[in-house]
Amino acid sequence: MANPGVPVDLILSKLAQDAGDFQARLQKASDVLLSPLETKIASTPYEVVYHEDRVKLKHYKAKKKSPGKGKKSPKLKTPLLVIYALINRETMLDLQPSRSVTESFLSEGIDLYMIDWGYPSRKDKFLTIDDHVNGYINNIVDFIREKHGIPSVNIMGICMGGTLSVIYSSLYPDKVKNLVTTVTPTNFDTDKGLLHIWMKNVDVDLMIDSMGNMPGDMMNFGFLLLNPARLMMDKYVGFMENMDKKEFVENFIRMEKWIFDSPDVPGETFRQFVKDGYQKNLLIQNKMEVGGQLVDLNRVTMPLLNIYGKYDHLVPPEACELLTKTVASKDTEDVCLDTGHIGIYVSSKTQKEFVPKIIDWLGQREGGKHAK
Amino acid sequence: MVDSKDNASSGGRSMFEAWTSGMKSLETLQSAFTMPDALEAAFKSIQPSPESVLKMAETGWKSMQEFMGDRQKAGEPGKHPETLVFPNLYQDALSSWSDLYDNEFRKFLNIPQLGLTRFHQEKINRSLDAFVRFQNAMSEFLLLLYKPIETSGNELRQEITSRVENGDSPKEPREYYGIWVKVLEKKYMALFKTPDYLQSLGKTMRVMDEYHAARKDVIDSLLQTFSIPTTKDMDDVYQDMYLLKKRVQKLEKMVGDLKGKQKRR
Repeated sequence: MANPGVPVDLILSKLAQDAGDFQARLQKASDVLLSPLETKIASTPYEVVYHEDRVKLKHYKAKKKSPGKGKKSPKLKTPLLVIYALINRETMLDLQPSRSVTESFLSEGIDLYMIDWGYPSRKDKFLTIDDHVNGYINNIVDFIREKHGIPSVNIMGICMGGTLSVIYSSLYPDKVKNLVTTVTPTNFDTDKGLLHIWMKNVDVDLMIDSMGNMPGDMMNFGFLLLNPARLMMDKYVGFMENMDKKEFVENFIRMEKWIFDSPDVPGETFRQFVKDGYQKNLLIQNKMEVGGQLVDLNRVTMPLLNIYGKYDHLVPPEACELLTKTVASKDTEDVCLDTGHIGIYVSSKTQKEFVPKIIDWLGQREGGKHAK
Repeated sequence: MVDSKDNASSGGRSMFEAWTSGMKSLETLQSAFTMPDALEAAFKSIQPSPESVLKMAETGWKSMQEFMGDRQKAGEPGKHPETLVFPNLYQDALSSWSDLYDNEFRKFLNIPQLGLTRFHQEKINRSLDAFVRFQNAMSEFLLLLYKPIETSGNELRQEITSRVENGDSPKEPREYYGIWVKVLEKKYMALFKTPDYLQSLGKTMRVMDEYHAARKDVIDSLLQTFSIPTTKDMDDVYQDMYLLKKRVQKLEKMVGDLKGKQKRR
């Protein structure tokens, strides 16, 4: 039987056709790129209700039912405080109107607060995890409690912000009604994620002593290195193939805006996070100390919902799933979604599961019947 | 009169002869490259050169020798994909240069400085040293990152050859790209867990931090001469502010608690 071989003619003719298509696409793309593009992110209106140093507390206004009929009454009386990571920005939850976690929460009548950590400068390099947890977060929680006249609030932590939330819940269990952790690393002793492997080999003391804060650009470079074939090349090939589609370009640029908007991380906070977390794995062993106090997960007694991504390359399931087994709370639930680290918040498929799950879970516990 | 046809044919013949002779010379040269005796002879003849330079040249020559040997093996596409890889030439040359710098040139930058400007000169030398070591480590690290790109090309060839043999050859350029990206991703994932990569990453980060600190020292020295606050000066102020703020917050809390107690009385 004859060997069919590589169909060179076919490939060449396809290449010629592709070149023609590309030229036409380029022409259309120039029209798209030169036209006004809607690429604004974090466009849901909010009010800054608390301000301390660089840190702001955003309060989102609940959506109006219809013009002139006033605000929609909250479905849950207990407000939800979202604590984002100190890496990248909380604007990820509100990338675009149709795919916005913030908007979804508001349309479900959640009274939503969100911490904006701002952009740490050199003067913030001495701030430790203690300053963030016992300082900013505690002050913000007290502010919300006082404003609403309630003893405790619901907290949702994201990634490193989730780790801070777990620490806070252990130190101030009475002030947290329900805790939702999303893609939150608590068990750092795993070699499933490259970050966990790499961080063990980093001389964090030398790094922070010489740099002061951990530069955001450097962290971003590290994140790109986690998968250079996809993140530094294939992604842009995809862009080239679709750059004549206005909606695609707008969404792509929104994502680029968010990804590369990376504040520096305060040096001392980064040092402790890497040493106590990635290098010594102290938190899950109840051995971590914050502000001179032991962080004991046996003090986390409130209901806990732990959500993570099956394909998360930054915080793999192995880094998240031990938490529910370690805390003292009897009302815990693990939810593993079929997505990655960012997909949980931005993929349209996951949006249909993620927010409704949190709303239902919090709703069931609003009266406190599920609480311990 | 010479016939123009004959003229052309004799011209063609002489061109062919010249080409054959040229190819033969190249072949001889190529064979010479692959003979270990030639390598030894060549290095013996240049013995008077400094040992350090010889070390580098030797590395380059050895890689060239392997490369030329592999050229002879190259034949049917996909059969010997390893022949398309330049065997560690850059990597060996870079690590030789790096060793050479660490063991030879670096000593010159560590010569104790004398006189009024000795502190400044030492700082500048330290910064220069840190810069070269950072450049070396970064080059080695980038080369390591380039490796998967180089080797993925060979694996793509193998994959395509195997598909062609099974009568399932890709028909569109996009398919070739898709296969290549998958191969490349796999190669990177494998590389990122290797001890070589982890060592290189750790080293690059370390020397980058050292360079950063050394450069800061030089800049601070310069700023001091112009009576401009240095990073260290500012860090001291920031630290004082940080500690004062904490103290004030603590006192505020104490006052609040005391006031609360008074009210309850």
